Amino acid sequence: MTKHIRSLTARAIGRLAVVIFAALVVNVLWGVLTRYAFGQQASWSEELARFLLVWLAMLGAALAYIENSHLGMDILTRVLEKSALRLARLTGHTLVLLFAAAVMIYGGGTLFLERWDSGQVMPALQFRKAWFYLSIPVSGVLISLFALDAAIRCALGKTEESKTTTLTKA
Amino acid sequence: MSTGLAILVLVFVALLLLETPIAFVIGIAAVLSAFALGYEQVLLSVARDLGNGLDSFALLAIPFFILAGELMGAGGLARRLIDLAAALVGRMKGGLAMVNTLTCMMFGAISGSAAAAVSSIGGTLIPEMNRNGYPKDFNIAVTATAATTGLLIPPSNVMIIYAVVASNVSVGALFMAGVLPGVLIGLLLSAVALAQSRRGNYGSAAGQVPPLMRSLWRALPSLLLVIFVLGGILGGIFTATEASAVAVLWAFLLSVVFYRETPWRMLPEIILRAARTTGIVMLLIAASQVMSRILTQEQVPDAVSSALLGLSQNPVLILLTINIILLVVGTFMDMTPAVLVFTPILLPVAVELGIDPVHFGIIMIANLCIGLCTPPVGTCLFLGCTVGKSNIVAVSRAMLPFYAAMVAGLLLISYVPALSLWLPRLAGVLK
Repeated sequence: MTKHIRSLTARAIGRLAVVIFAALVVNVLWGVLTRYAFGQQASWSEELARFLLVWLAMLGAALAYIENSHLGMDILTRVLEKSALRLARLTGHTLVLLFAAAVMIYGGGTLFLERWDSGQVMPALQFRKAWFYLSIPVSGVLISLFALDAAIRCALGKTEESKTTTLTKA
Repeated sequence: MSTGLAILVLVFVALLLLETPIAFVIGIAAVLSAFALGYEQVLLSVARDLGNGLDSFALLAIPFFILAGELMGAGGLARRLIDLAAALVGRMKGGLAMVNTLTCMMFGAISGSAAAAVSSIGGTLIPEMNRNGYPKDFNIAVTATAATTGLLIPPSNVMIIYAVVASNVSVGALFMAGVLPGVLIGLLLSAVALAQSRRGNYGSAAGQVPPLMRSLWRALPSLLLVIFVLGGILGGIFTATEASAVAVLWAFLLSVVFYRETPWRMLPEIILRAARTTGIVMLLIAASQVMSRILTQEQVPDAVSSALLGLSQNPVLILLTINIILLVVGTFMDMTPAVLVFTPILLPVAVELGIDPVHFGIIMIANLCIGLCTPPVGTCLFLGCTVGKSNIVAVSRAMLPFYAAMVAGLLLISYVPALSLWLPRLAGVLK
């Protein structure tokens, strides 16, 4: 995958995450306001918040993976030779690929279908619970695509800049 | 049982060393051990645990406090807090070191991020201290250690994470419990910084000190964020999650409307940064829930508990042992994953010893703060070295007296429960 496609996808996911985040803030503030103004909070507000949160989290996790900003430990890798480092990276990306494909796409996809068939709905929103779980396979697809891409680039001998643990928030 | 768990530990350590993102390391280790333990429908149930682990209204406070911190930090918060601290303590000899610790405490509390405190405060104050005759490595050491106090002074995301994994712990009680320990460690660090400055005759001449009332007036709106959140939760006006949303609103009003330091077009970028951090933290939380379910099912916490209690029945010694374990963990693990992984294992031991879960949370956080400043993995230390342009070995040496202060603070916090529990009890949020 070219750098161009990577940054384009990252930007698209980023935009979506920003919209979800903004909706989340407005929704919860609205909940607080209605609780004060009408003495009772709209029951859909909390359900919607949890729904938006899981999507925000899953998209944010995919975005962080694409941009290489997840928390990792570089105690060993920072002293490795270039070729050993490449092998370490290749292994890491491959394992993430397997995890995303097996658990997030296959497991999450099965979960989505199972909930879809059961017809379970979120009580206040009257909205299928399956949409909540769909965030997992969607994130899984994004992560596995980019893990595959990163693994291929490693195998072809292009090592990325070492990410630093210091860039993440404590 | 033991093979499955051995796989979990081995895979965990091996993958960590490969620099695989910790959230995935936890997930992969959990899946492999679930297979080895012969669980059914592993892939489906791990996916379900990932989703359900995030299906909580309480967790929402985390992205909101992250966003509020980003919004506050984007403007001139650092400068306003530095001016206030300078007006308060800048006049004395060695004053700039005190200004640094005091600012870090306030900034860390408001922004909720020790890393942001190091880069924002350090970015301004380390060069200023350098110019005033304070040695560079000392300046980095002061900033990096003082920045961690913001994780104990509320609001604090790591406390929300602890409350979620510990279950049945009130976020409001944790927030109140963190106030005195955070201030205590801040004061100990200030004392060390001041003593060192006087002895080494750093910063001989007092610089320009801004007038107190004006700088207080300018910093007050930002400090109100902390007061709103705490007051709102304590007064029963809103829950921690609602408080965090109100904090976002307040931060937005301040930085976009009132101070106008953040133009509208910057907002998407700020929200994006917060979204990325949210993804990182949330995936870690989700994966840890999967792992802790396996650990509980295999009764690992019970085993650890009886092993530790088998060593000794003396609560003082056991607590010391737990602290040493956590110090070691903290040197190579970041705070969030450490809290997520070790709370379910160690909290039952603490409860067995009669330690209040709120008190234990504070001990754990105070302990792991030290790890943020130590090699081989120490976010604050590394970031300080980057910001202040020095190397880890030199700064670590300058850190030694500050480590001592933090350990002294940790011991006080561990063995004087009232430090943590008096305030929440007084406020009525803890029985």
